Amino acid sequence: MNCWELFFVFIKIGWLTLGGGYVMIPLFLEEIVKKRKWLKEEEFLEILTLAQLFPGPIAFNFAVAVGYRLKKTKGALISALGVVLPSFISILVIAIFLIRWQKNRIVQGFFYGIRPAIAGLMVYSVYELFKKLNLTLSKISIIFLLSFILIFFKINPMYIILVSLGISILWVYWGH
Amino acid sequence: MGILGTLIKVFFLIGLLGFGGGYAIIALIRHFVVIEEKWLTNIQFIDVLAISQITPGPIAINSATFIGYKIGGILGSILATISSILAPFILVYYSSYFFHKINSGNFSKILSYLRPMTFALVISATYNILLDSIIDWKGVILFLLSLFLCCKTNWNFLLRIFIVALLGEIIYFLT
Repeated sequence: MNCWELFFVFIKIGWLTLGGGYVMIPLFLEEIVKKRKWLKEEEFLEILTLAQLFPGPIAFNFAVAVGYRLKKTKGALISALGVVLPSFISILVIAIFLIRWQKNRIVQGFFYGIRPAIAGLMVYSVYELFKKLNLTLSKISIIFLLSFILIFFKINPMYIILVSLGISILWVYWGH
Repeated sequence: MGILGTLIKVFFLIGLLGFGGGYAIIALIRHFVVIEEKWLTNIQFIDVLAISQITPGPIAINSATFIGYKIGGILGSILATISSILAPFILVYYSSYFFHKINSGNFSKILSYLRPMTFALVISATYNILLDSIIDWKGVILFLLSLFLCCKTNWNFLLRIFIVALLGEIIYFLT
């Protein structure tokens, strides 16, 4: 395998990361492990775990970690570029088009319909998360308190994230 | 700080703090872009979100490219996109290097403690988007249709979005 192959595989993965997130994992497995045999399945799972430990989109983190494993620094850079390029180009084209045509009636009608569609997707995702979480009283209180603070005090979520991260780190290293 | 500098700073922070994946990052992006910097209105932000859902790539990178272009042209879009992936790149790169020294058990534990927080982020983003996206009774019907399709069908989410968007388009032209 050379760097061009790596680049094109991640361009392909980048094109297919519609909707994003965990739906894409079987696709990664197919492309990297089954079809091309670049990694063994254990290595793949190891890298996937690593990709999920850090902030950032999982497809992107995964690309960087696989690229590094296969071709060191050059591989990490090439895979990162490959996986981002499709979304960069498609959004750039849409942005150029939209800023010119935003007053067009067909464009406005499309967005008129798609906004409530997105709201529906998000409400459903809250329901899905709710089902997955095994709720305890302390978790419910934290969720309720933080949601309340975020919605009614309009505080920057950055501070909530940093404080929660700090508390969680302390809890893991000194608490238990 | 010039506007490009602010663009770089904002999207670097969004990349650095994007824990939890998926919709959890929306509240953070919205706060920076709509409330603090006022680069987009509420409605424009939902439109960017919608575009992001129907194109390849995650929301953080998509919104960086779009807003970067709106604020600073092609150069702005390149700078914002790179800023949004800089922190994840550095973190994953160095952790690949030190892979065997990392205690991933502790890391996953920390992440599991963060889960209620990311859930709250999703709830607050959903609340704000619900308020801004439904402006009349026709919007309520489209919203309920979208929710119904999510709950009752296994269809591809793109198909669901396009059905509701198409119906919205028809309603928009008829009324």
